[in-house]
Amino acid sequence: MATIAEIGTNRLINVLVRDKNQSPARTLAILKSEITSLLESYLELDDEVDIKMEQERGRLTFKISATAVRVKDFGTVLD
Amino acid sequence: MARKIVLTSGKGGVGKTTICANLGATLAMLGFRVCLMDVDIGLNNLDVVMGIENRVMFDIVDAIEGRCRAKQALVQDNRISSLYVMPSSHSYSYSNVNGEKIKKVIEDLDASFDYILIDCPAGVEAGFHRAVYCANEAIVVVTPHISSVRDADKVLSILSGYDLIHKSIVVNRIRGDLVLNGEMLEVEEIVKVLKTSLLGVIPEDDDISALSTVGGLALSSQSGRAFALLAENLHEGTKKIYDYTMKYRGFFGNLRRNLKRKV
Repeated sequence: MATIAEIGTNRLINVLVRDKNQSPARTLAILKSEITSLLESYLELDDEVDIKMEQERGRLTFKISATAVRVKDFGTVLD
Repeated sequence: MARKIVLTSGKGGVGKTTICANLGATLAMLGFRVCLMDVDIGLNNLDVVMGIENRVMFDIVDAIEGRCRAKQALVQDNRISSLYVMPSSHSYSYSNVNGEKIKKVIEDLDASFDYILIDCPAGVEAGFHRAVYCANEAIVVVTPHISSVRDADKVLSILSGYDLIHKSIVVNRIRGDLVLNGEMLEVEEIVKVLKTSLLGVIPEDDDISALSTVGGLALSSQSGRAFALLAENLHEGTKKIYDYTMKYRGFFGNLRRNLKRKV
């Protein structure tokens, strides 16, 4: 069983993470735009990129899902 | 040239003024010339904590507005001759006061002291910015409570916008018995979360509360050793930190801890 100090430390970390991430919607929008741009360089995407952000034990977890029709042709790779 | 250090916290009631008074007194005992500056205008308390409230003739606002010279407003401590206090005004009408003017008063005193400790108002409003503007180092006082650490984190992020040589934290009012029982945040966790170097640790001490009521200093109380280590670390960078759990470890320590818990 967690001690009061351990619970307090986890609460503190959660509070600080939340404070530093005051605008999750904006963060997600920026991430989505950048990740879509990155994936589109390599893949022909089928649908919009979906990003989910979860917060647990003071850590942020990002789940990114994207479906692609095909991998783009990169041409010949030189030695 | 004096080291100009602001003591701040964000949250009120964490012991900024008490630490300012006792750290200043400890430095003065070590032989340094120390000036304690109360820049909490309208809510001055350093004079009461230092026990000089009946000897105040002029205050910092008088010095700013030219009714006296900066040195005339200083009150010398009765106990330690190299310790002086610049009291603040109890009046809230300070429309003429700004960071630049306080800085000018500090510059007038600069050559006469080794340390100028600036007692900052709570909060992050104009008073906070005025105080920080005058300093070139900052000590953030924090207690082992979530609300205090949260505010300290905010203050440290604001301080990063200032041109300060050094920022550090002092953890105040820590209880070794509660930490060992797993009932209080550990200093190491606070340091890890705030990502700022630890300058010192001051234990919870009933004597400090009693002494501040009578305008006394905590130099001979149980936390006196903690203030001595804090002062040495500030001056020499000894990195020695008070061991706040020591008296609660071992056979007798365990006994003391469990007795304290039951009482």
